[in-house]
Amino acid sequence: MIQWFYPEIFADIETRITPRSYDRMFPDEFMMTEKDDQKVDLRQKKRRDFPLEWVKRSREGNNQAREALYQHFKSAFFSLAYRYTYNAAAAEDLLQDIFIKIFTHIHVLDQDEAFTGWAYRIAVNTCLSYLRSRKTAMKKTVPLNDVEIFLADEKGVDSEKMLKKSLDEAICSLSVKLRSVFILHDIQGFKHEEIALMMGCSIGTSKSQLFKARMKIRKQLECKQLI
Amino acid sequence: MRCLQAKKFINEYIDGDLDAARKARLEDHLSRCSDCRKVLKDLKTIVTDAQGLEEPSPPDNTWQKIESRLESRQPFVTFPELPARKWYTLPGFRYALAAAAMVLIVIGVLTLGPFSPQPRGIVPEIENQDYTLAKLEEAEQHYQMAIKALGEAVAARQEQLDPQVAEILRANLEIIDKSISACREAVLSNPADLDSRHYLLAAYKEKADLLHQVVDLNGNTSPAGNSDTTL
Repeated sequence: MIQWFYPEIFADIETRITPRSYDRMFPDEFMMTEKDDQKVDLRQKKRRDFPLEWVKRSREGNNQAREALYQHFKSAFFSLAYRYTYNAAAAEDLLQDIFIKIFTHIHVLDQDEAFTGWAYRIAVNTCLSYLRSRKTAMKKTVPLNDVEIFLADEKGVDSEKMLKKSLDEAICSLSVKLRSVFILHDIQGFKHEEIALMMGCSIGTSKSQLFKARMKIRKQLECKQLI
Repeated sequence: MRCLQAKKFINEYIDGDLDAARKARLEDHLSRCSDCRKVLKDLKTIVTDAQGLEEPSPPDNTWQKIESRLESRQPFVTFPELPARKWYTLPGFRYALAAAAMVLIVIGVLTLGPFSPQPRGIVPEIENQDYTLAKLEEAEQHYQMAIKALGEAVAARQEQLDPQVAEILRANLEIIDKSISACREAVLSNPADLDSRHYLLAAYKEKADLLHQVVDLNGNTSPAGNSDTTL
């Protein structure tokens, strides 16, 4: 009888978790699996997995060691620069600037083990100062040449590729701060502690900016009915 | 749990940063809220796709460009290592020295300066004592000179004195001379003792006064004299 007067309460009680209903309502496909974390870990592990001898020899001016370091980090830094600018030519210029800065300042690095974090910090700062110097790049626009590439590739691409391209577009539309955290955390696989050090902000700020970035990307993809 | 809070938790949940209690609360909410389940699914898709985004490679000749730019740059000027600084030129030492100097100055001002009652009492007292002793010696000399002069005057008029008076004078002078010699001995044994000096001066004064009275008596009275003079 009382159920007639308080239908919301009883509706809630009915949907409370029971071991059986839990599996039905909250299937495993929504749970984060260890595999996802491993992907990021593997990326980071691969990035940090290089002989420290290269750093030492690069400091001494050895060209082979410098090239080895370049080969090891080129994709990561180019990808970083590309996702800041979404312009391949600008990304290449930035990549050059990043490595010039690294090799001309490597003598100030005391600990070889700290090379990866230090080099990333240089890379991020180089990209950010580039964006600051070119305020037009900060406008939420996608360069025309990139749009053309996307449009040209749209023919005959499957939905997953389309989603990834739209994801890139959504990342490009983010503000510089949100983009930085999203690139470093979700694409490059850094932890919030490392991002806070690189960006000179608190861990809480890094977390909240990542949340905002993800929600904005979600909104954009939702508008395009891709998710 | 409200949906807004749940969304924040979802964000941390995806990253595996959510503690067990919050995780349980979130899962409880997710089991009842289809919107939040959709958020979780979407964010998970975004994160998974972001992880899977391709890392584009730079053009092959980029390293050559970097290499040529590095070669064209001026080589680093390596400054010869400077010798280690002497410990006394280090800024820390200078500050310590300045602090020590300040402490010394403050102590000096407090102990020797106008704020110190104790030193003020000691130093002038010693000075006063020296000054008193000098003045007393001076007075002593004056008394001696006066006594000598008066003694000569009295001796010159000795014959004019009444023999009875002369006898009394001699007896009195003898007593005073004894006290003078006693006081002098006391002064010689302890020159810094002001009391004994005062007694000595008092004795001198007494002798001088006596002689002065005798001289006055001699001058005022007729040669016949007045033997009633009391000394």
